Amino acid sequence: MLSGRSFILRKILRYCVIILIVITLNFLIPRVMPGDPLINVLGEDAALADPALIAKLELKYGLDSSLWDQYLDYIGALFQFDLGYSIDKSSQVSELISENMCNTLLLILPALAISSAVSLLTGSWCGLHRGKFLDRLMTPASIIIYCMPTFMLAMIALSTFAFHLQWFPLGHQSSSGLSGLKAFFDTLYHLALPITVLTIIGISGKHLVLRNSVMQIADEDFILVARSKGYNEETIVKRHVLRNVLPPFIAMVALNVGLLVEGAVIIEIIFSLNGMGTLLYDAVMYRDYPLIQGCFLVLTFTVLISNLVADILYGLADPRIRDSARCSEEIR
Amino acid sequence: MNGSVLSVRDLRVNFQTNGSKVSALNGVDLDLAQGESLALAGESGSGKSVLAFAVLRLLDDVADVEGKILFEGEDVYQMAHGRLLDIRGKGICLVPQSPGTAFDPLRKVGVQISDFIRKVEQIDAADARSRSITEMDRLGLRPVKDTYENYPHRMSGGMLERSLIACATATSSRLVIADEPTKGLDRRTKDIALSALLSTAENGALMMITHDLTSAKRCERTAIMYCGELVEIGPSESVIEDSVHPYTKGLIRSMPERGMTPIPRRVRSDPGGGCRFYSRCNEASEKCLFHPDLRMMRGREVRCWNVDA
Ligand SMILES: Nc1ncnc2c1ncn2[C@@H]1O[C@H](COP(=O)(O)OP(=O)(O)O)[C@@H](O)[C@H]1O
Ligand SMILES: [Mg+2]
Repeated sequence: MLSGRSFILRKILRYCVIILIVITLNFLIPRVMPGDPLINVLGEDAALADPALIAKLELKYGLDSSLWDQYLDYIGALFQFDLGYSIDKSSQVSELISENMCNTLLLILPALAISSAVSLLTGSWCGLHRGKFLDRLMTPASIIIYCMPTFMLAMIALSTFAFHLQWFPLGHQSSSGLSGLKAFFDTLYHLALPITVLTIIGISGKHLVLRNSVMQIADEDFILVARSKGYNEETIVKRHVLRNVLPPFIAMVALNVGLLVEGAVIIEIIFSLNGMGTLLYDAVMYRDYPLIQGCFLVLTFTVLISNLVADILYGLADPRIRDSARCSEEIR
Repeated sequence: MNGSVLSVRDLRVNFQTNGSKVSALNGVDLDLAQGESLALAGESGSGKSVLAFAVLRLLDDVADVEGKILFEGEDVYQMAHGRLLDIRGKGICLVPQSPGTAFDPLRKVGVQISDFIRKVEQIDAADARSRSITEMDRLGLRPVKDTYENYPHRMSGGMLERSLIACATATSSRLVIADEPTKGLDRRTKDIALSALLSTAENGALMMITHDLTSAKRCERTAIMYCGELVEIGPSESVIEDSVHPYTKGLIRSMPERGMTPIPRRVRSDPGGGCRFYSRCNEASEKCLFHPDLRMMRGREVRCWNVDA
């Protein structure tokens, strides 16, 4: 029998390999792109202007050494959280990212937590009470919202609640010059609408899948067998239905992180919030390569880490997954 | 007390499947007394499992159930929900047909058995655990400590089947309904399982659904079902060793040790309304165009026109 700990260690080891591949690709792709990295950064005119300066910069950024040495330097720098320097923003990429990542997490984490909790409730309830009022309301609404582009939902929310009704501010993270509890409530006031939009997007995706999983499990043979043994519906739902819906739910929340990261990027732009979305948007607009590279690396890491956590929890929640992981390891 | 444990009267079950009606049971009458064991045999699809579920009133959502089912004199279809939950498991214990899907895949098999014993017998967790270990050991699930801790997907069909049987034999329900409890078992474990099941009939009753007429012989009585009707019912000795209904005779001939001759799928066309076995029967006559009733004949009840006393 495979113990929980060795299962987790194997998973972590495998993710380390994936992370190394991601880092390597992130290193290689700009270097196999046509053109000179310095020219890319400084513009076409730089090469004509001063070859001596170029040579100096090449030396400074280590671009004169072999690819392998550059690779080792790159990894070494990563371990010190050195992602390079953004010329456009005149700042360290790592500083820019850590500032903006905090803002984005402020958007994503509450949305993820609230939408998971709500969809767990509504999805299971609707799966167990097919055709009741809430089911007939939630289920089509989820489909419509799930199919709607994020920017459209965000625009509708912004124009209705911020512009016409003026319940919420039109944008920005917070008013300046506040501190303490006041600052907290001010930020909450500013972020309420974007977080709500993101939460609704999160619910729409998870509600449907959860409802269908619950319906499927409620029709399983072992539920009927539990009923034949005289267990009441409450025990059956708690002990069997909800317990069995947990593994697919965990997998779904992890997939949802990707969706929410993508949604946050768009919502930040529409609500003029600072965050990874606006940072990446600017970086692309100004062809700030070190910044683009850094953003991609961090976003990939976020999704990878959420997948790793989900993979581990998934295995802990379902012994069959643990065993099949062991089997595939043994075959190899 | 030597009263009636189960009494089924004119039971009819119809499934509504997208517009069309499927009748699974067409007027079944059955009585089981205290201390009695009954084997129920018949081809797949004849309605044996439907009968088992109907007795536990588990078909409410999917089928129309007509007729009367009395458990120890109480009408199962009239009783309050709380009383029904009490009878399920504690009064009537079902050993379901498909061991592979009958256990919750995320919980240990031993724990699921203990939970059931604990609920039915109202004993504490440690007692329930030791009782289920004893029972699993008796049924040959060894090494028993490992089996107890195993998840369903790591166990074979035969092991799961015996785990299902353990739920029934470790508790003292008054009626055990076992749906094909011996499939997937080898000769030795089959004997152990059969003896364990038959011992439950000592202070209750046993209804054992089976395809295996050799196992059926170990029950006191045997009932043969065809297309939702009982066609022959009586002491196992008479029904199996000296069958009179053409369908029962066909079942006996199709046993491996009796030549393995299958019952033909269709011999003649069926005008409908008559004997349900008409189209496949090799002894049919004009009379068989009318539906026969069960008649007492040569020490058992038979549903056939062509049997003489
Ligand atoms: N849930 C259901 N919906 C529709 N038809 C069913 C259902 N369950 C059983 N039946 C039908 O009832 C008949 C008897 O089935 P069953 O009792 O399972 O047979 P068996 O004697 O092999 O146990 C079959 O024709 C089957 O198709
Ligand atoms: Mg069956």
